[in-house]
Amino acid sequence: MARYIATQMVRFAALMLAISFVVFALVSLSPIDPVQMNVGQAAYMGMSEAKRAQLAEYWGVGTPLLERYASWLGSVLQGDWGISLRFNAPVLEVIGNRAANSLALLAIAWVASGVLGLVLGVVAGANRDRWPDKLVKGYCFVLASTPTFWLGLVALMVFAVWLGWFPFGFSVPIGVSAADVTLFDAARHIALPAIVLSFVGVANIALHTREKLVDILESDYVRFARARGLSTRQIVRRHGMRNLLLPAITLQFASISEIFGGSVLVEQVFSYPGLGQAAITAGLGGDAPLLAGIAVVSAVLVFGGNLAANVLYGVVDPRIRRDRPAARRVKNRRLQNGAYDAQKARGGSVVANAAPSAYAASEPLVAVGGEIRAIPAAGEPIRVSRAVERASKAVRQAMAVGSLLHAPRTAGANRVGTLAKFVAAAVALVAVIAAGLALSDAATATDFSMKTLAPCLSHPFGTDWMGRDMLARTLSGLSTSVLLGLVAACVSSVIAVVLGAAAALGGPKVDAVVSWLIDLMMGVPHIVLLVLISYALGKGFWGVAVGVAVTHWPNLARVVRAEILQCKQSDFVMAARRMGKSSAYIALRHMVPFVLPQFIVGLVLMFPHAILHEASITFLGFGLPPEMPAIGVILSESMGYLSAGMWWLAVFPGLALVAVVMLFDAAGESLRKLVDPHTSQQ
Amino acid sequence: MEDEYLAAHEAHNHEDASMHHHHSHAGASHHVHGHHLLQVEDLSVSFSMYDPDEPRFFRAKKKDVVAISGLSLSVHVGEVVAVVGASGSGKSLLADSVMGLYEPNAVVSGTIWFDGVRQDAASLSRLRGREIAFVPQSVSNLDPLMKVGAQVRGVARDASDAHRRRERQRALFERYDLDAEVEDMYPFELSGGMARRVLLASALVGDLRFIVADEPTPGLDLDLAVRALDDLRAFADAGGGVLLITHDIELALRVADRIAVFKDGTVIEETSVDSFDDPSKLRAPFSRELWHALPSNGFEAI
Repeated sequence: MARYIATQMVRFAALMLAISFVVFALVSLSPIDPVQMNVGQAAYMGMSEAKRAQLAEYWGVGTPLLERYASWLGSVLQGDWGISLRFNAPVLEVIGNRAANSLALLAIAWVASGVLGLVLGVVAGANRDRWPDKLVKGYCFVLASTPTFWLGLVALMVFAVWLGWFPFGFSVPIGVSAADVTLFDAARHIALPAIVLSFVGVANIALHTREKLVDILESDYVRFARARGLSTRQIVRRHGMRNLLLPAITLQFASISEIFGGSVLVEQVFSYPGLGQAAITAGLGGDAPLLAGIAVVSAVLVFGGNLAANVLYGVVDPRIRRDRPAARRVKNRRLQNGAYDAQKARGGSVVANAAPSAYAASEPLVAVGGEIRAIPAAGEPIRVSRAVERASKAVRQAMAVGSLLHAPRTAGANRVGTLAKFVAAAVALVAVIAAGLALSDAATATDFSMKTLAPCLSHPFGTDWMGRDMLARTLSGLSTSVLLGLVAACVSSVIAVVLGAAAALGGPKVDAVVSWLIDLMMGVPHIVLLVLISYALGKGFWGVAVGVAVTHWPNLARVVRAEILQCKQSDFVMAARRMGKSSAYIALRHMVPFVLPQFIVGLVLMFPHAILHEASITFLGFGLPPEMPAIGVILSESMGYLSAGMWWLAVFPGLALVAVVMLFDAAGESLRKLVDPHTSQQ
Repeated sequence: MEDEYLAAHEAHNHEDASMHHHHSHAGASHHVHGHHLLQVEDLSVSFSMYDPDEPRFFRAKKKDVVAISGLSLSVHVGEVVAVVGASGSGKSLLADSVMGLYEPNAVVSGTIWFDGVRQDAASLSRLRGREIAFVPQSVSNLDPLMKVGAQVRGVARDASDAHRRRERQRALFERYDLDAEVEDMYPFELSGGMARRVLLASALVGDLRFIVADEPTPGLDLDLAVRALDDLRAFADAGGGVLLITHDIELALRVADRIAVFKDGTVIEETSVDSFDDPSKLRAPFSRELWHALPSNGFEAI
């Protein structure tokens, strides 16, 4: 145990050192000049040269990066995290003030999404392929395609603006002194953001729980439990929960990173004064010390979550908790038992030694059930769907004689149908992009005689306050977002291939480095990392493009690494090696075809993530500039008109984005089905 | 009319090894209440899947891949019937079918009677654990996160049933040389032989009338294997029925009354163990090959 704690401490220190350096480097790289940014443009212009130099020295301009990092780290370790320029207070104080708000929000969302997700996952998994499963799965897929901030916008519009059930934002009523704020006030303010954040978090845990339960229900021990007469309900209670809870809690701890990322967006939408909102304010306002401080704090949270998951496993799982020696002791004692040993030594075949010895006298320990109990006769013939009947001759024959005992619920895979789905999704996506490109002029054309029109026949999505047609803006914004997402994801996939292949083929050292890089990427919440990278590159197009490209490779890199390793150890590669084929030949003829299908699937499934992240980061103000009609820009602008009742500004572009992301998901999913021999065969 | 038929059936002399319901009888075979304890007729199991031999991916048609076809089998009251066949030939699928455990994508047809009543999938599932018990093959059939004792005892109907199960579990553990502390162990702490004894004990904990045992003895040392088989034998002698699935024909001959020879997804011959005394009594060529492969007959592979 002491060893474990020591290892974790070292890991924590190493990871924190690396993360803090990356954070500091990114913040320092930024072309956003903290001096100008914080003194103000006009004041800066009118400043004397000596004053400027003094300020520049204060901000460390001109000192090498490593030196500045060392001095920053030194003071951070002493508890001096610098002064926040925006809040005009020590960074630690700002973080301390805001952490309470954020932690309350995170804790509620963490618990609520965990419990709800677990329940939904169990319901879905236990009713696999029936309507509750389809409902939960549908809910999760829609939710996974929905940008968190848009869900927040819609919730704000419906529940705060229209229905007036909840306040419009902030954590306490405006104009009330802190001492007069009641717990009820605070609860009313936190409710809506917490609900939105919880709903978003549900999808991940519910889908994982469902998968896990499906696996459990297919396991040998559940099969045996069924053979012993347990119903599905009993099995879920007796075996399901036991085997489910630990992975679910682990996953929930690991998803702290995602929930924190979601909280950044939700806090921004609800003007909720937490860490996330402070990070955005800091990033937009060039407040480098605060941004760095919050990034480091978020990394500590993420690490704490992962550590908690690991410790929990060790404490709860008997396979880790219990020493193996206990089992060995018992076994050894058995072997010392003389009579037992002698019998064992006799060996030979059962038939040859059929004469029973000492135990022959003992009563057989069996009981045959008593009187004949009522057994129901065969019920109605089972119902079979038309598709199953068409697919299987065996089903038709058995039905004709009335001897069918069991038939599949569904007809199983349909290759041509899956291909058609993929083609339809791809065509729809191409159509959207083409329409968006064609309408890019119409998207920026203003016509003040037509301003703020609600949806009508000539403007199905309405018009904005400058009389721009929202349909054209939405389509154009979609094509911008999609194209940017596609390009960034493709770049990211190149990184993934290079690093994944290096990890698989470059030996253990390279493998360790790559896996460490992945740890580093996963150590900071995605959104925070995107904000940092975008900030480092001075925001705008390149900020978001590079950010999305740099942050999305870890999952695909893992897939590529695993596939290459599997291929490397396969018989056909061994055979090729023995035949003296060159490494280049093997890589080209064996590895590339082996890895390609999974790679393409991973790439297509990366698109929706990339698009959603681009939209989020643009919405926060770090992405595409306002003059480009990106979806994030459109939705960000719509926020100002929510209370004016212009709902169409937020609703339609958001729905369109959800639809496009779902199309990508559908395309990727159908591609995966075709590529995976397990699902495409049945 | 039916009674008359049954009476005639009962009166029929079954001990002359004559054929009836696809099988010949052993000396002990008799039809309590005029029927078999378990009777399986014309059982077929297939899986509908894309033709794997079609090279053009999108041209492939769905076809039924047959695992078991036209299988018939009977177990009388008081009888151990051993299904003997090569490993991996689909014998376990037969065990699953008898218990109404079907893969989601399987097509299963046939008629199964238990104690004279025709069954469907739903009624078979009600028999499991109440009338029919199962002895599975490997330790993977135990929940990795549940203590062994609780798993063997299973789910009790009420407090007295719980008490009875506890007593019985203790007695069975003692009989199979399992220490009391094994109760509190997790499956990963068991050796292979211990796991098999635990699985056997799980099946014997309930009050049942029929046991399906899928390869219950490999990994047990001789003493325990014999003891386990004797328990199955005693269970049958007390009026139960046992379907023993195994690839070990020597073992089958030792404990069973009748042997069902399983090949290519069906039972090709169902006959008394006595028939294995003399190859000329065996009808199927494959059964005679099995006979020749016995150690006492010189391991001849034909």
